[in-house]
Amino acid sequence: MGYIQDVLAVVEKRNAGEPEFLQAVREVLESLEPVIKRQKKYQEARILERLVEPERQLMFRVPWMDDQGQVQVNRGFRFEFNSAIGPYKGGLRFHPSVNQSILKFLGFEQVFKNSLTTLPMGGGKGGSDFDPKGKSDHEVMRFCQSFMTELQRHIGADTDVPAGDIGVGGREIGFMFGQYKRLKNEFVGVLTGKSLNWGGSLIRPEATGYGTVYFAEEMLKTRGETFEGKICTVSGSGNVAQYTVEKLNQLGAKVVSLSDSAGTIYDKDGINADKLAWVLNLKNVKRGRIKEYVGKFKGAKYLDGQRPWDIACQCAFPSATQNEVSGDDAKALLKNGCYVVAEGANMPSTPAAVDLFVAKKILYGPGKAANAGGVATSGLEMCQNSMRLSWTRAEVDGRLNGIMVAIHKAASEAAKEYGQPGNYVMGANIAGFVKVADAMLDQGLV
Amino acid sequence: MTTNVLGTGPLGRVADYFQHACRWLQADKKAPASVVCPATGWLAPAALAGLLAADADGPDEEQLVAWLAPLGTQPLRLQPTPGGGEEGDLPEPLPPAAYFPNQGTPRERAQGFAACVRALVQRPEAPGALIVTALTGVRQDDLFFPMVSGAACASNPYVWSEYIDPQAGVVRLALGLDLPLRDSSGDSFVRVAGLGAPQRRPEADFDDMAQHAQRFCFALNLKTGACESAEATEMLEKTPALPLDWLTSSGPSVLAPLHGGVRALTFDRLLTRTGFVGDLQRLLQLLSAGFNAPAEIVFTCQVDPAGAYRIHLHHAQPMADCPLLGDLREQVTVGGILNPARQAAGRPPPAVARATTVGADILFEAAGAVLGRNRRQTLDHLVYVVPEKYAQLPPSSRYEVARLLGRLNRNLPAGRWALFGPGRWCTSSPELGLPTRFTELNHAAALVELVEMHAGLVPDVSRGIHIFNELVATGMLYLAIFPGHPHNSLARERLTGAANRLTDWVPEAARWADVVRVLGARELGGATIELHADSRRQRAIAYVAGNQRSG
Repeated sequence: MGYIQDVLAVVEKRNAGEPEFLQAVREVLESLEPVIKRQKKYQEARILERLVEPERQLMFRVPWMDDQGQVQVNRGFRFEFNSAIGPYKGGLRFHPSVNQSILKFLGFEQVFKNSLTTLPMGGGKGGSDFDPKGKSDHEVMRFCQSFMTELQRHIGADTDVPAGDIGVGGREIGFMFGQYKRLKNEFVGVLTGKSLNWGGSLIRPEATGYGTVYFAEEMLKTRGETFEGKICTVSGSGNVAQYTVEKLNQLGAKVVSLSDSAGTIYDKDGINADKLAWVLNLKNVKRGRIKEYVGKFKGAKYLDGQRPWDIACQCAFPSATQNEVSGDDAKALLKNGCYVVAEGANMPSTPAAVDLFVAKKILYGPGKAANAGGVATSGLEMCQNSMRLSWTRAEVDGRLNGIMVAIHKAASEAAKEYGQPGNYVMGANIAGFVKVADAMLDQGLV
Repeated sequence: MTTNVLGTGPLGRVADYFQHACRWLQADKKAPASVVCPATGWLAPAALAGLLAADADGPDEEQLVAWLAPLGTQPLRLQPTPGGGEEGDLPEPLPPAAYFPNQGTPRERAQGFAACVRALVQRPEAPGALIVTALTGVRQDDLFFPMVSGAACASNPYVWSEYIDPQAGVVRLALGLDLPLRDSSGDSFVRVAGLGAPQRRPEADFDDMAQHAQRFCFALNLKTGACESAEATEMLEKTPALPLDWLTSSGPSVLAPLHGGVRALTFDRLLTRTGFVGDLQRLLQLLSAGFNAPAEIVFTCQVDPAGAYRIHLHHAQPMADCPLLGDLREQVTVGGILNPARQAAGRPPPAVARATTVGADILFEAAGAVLGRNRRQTLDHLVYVVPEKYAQLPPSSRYEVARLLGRLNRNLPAGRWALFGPGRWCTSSPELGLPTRFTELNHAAALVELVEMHAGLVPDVSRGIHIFNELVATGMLYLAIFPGHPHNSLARERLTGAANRLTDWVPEAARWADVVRVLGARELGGATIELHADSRRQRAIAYVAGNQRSG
C-alpha cells in the first residue's frame, strides 16, 4: 500500500463508526496524491497523520431548563482541528443530528477552506444536538448561555473564533456573545456573524455572490476576457444568486435567468438593476415565488420545474443547491457554448459534471474556491474587531475582491505547478493543503 | 336562537350543533366573556330549494327583506351545511363558506342575497341548509375583511414536538376571509399553533418564520361581491385599523438586512400576550363536553390596539374527522372498514368476513409519530427508498436519488402514493436522510420516515418539523416507523421482492432500480393499498386490499 492508503487504514481503524469523517478524509487525502508523491517532506514529517487528528476535541454537558421547569441535558462539542495558520475558525451547529462524526468531518474540511482564503484562520467546528426549532426564545437563550458557560473556557479572539452555522443565526450568536462578555468581562471579537451595530461586518449577505463573480472574473482574465457583453445564467434566487446578478450587472454582463425550487425564469432582455431590485423585494420581503417575475416583466418566460442549464450562455453560475448540475446538464451547457462555470452554491455539480468540465478544459471554478467569499468575510469581521474599526462597504468589498484574486492565484499556481494548468479543482485542493502543511513544518512537532 | 328561520324543513344536525353551541354559550357562566354569537339567520331546505328554482314556493322578496333585517347591514357569511347524512353520523367536513356584501337598500340586499344563494347552491355539493351570520371586520376602500379568521379543534392532529399536548387543541389563524388559496404555489401559509404551547414554532429563526407566514389574504369587495386576493403586506400597510403589534412580528432578517427588518403575520402577541388562547381552550372544553366529542369551531376575531379582543363564533360542531374508535389493527383484522360514526352512535361494527387474514397483507404499521388529520385513504403505489442500498451511496449520489424522486413526483398520479425512505425527508444533510425539496414530493399522499440510516447513525425522528408548514398546507400525512418498536413494522421482504415499476414511470432511471422501488398495488398482490391513520392515538396502518392471492 502507498503512504496515503496506509494513513487511511489507520484513520479507519481509529475512527470506526464515524462514516462522514472517514469519507471526508478519504476524499481529501486521495486528491492530494500528486503533492504527497512529489514532496517527500510531508511524508517524513507525518503531516497527514497529524492533520487527520484534531489538536483538541471537547465534549461537554449542556444542562438547561425548559419553560415547563424541566431540566434538559444536551451535549456540546468543539473540535479545534488545526491552528497552524491562525486561530481555530469554524461554525457552531445546533441541530439534533450533530454528533462527533459529523463535526469532525466538517472541522476537517474547514481547515482547508479557511486556508484557501489566504487569511490567517485555522480550522474548527462545534455545536450541539440541541434543536432550536420548536423552542421558545427564552429556552434558546437559556441553552445558549449554558453552552457558552463551558465553551468560554476554550475560545478567545486569538484562540478560537466560532461563527454561526445551521441553527445558529443572529439570535443565537447574540445570546452566546452576551454570556461570553458577562463571564469574561471583555468585549472582543470572539464570535463572528454578529449584528452590525455591535461588531458585525458589512457585505456579509453580498459576500458569497460577489466573491463568486470576482473569482470568475479572474478566470476570464487568464484568457484576456472580461464580463462585458457576456450572457450569463444564474440558478437560485436567494442571497448568493441575487448578489451574483448584481455584481455581474455592474461588470457589464447580461444575466438571463434565476430560479427557485419550482422552476426557472428566462429573460432574454436581461435582469437589469431595476428588475433585480424587484426580485430582491419579492424574495426577501414578500417571500414570493420567482415565477411571479414573468407576470411583472413582459417577454420573460417561466420554465416550470426546470433548471436554467438548457439556456444558451457563455457563463453559468450554479447558486442554488447541491447537485443541481447533472452530467446531462453539463453536456447541455457545453453544447450551448458555455465555457465559464463558477459555483456559488456548495457542490452544485455532480461528479459526472465536474469530470466533464475538467476534461473539456473550460474555466471551471469549484465551490470550495469560488464561493469562499462568505468565509473570507468572517475573516474580515475578525480583522475589524481586532482593529476596533468598522470598514465601509467599499473597503470590505475591496478587500473581498483582493482575497478572491488571491484565492484564484493560489489555486491557479498550484494547478500549474503540479502539471494541470487551469484545473482549479486540483489547484484548490493542493493550495489549501500546502499552506497548512508548510506552516506545520515550520512550527516543528507540536 | 332559532327564531330567524326562513323556510320549512329540518335544518339538519350540523345546524343543530351550532344552535346548541350558542345556547350553551349564553347559559354557561363559565363561558368566556370574550366569545359572542353574531346575529344569525337560518335558511331551511325548502327556502333554499325555492330560491334556487325562483318559483312561487320559494321566499318572496318581502320575506327575504324581513328575514335579513335582524342581521343588520354588516357583510354576511353564508355557511352551507352538508346535505344528507344519517342520524347519529358524525358531521362531514364543512363545505367552504361564501360571503355576501349586504350593502344597499333592503330590496337591493334581498335581491343580491338571493343571487348569492343561487350561486352557492349551484356548487356541485348542494347544501342541506344555510347558516348565515353577520361578519365583523375592517374596511379598506371597497374591501372588507375580518382582522382574524380562525378555526380551532379540541384535538390537535399536528403534534410535532413532545411539548405539544394533542388534547390541548389547535388553532389556525389567518388575516382576511378564511378561503383556500386557488394557487397553492407554496409561498403563503396560515399560522397553526398548538393551544397548549402557542409560543412554540417549528421554524428555527425569523427568516424561516417569515418565509412560512401568510402572504396573500382574501377580502370581500363590497361593490362587486367578489372575494379578491391581495398581498397581506399591502393590506397591513393600507389599513390603519389593523393592530399590527398584535397580529405581526418583525425581526432581524439575514435576507433583507437593508430593508430595516421584515414584518410577518404571526399573531404571536395575540397568542401569547392575551387571554385569547385560554378563552379558546375554555370554549372548546365547554363545547366538547356538550357534544360529548372533541369540538371544532369557526370564528373571526376583532382586536383593538390595546390588545382587547372579541371572538365571534360562526360555527361549532363535533370534529369532522373525530378520531377513529377502537384499535386500528383490530378494525383491519376483522376486515371491515368501520364507520366511526356508527360506532360513535353505539352501533356494533359491521364485521365483514374476509377470505384471508389481513395480518399477512399488512404493509406497515407505525406508532409514535403521526402528523395530519385522521384519514382512510386508498393508494395505488408505494415508493420505497431501500435503506441498506441508500446508506451505501456517497453524498452526490444521494442528491441524484432526490432529483429522481422529483421526477417520480411529477409522473405518478397526485395523491395516490406514499413515499418511504430512510432518515429525514427534505433534509439539508444527505448523511441524515433524503435531500429532497418539498416540491419534489408534494404530490405524495403520505410521507414515511424510516427511523434508521446505517449502522453508525440513527437520526432522531424529525416529526416533520422542518416541513411542518408545507405538510399542513398540503394536507399530506407524515409518519415515522421505528423499527423494532411495538406497533411498528414494515413488510420489507414484500417491498423488496415485488416487481419494481420504476422505469415505467421514469424510463431513464434503470441504474437506480436497486435503490428506489416503485410498487403498484397489483405487484403487491392486491387491487388497492388502504391507509388508515389516527393522529390522536399516533397510530397508522396500511394493507393490501382486494387480495389476489386469496382468489
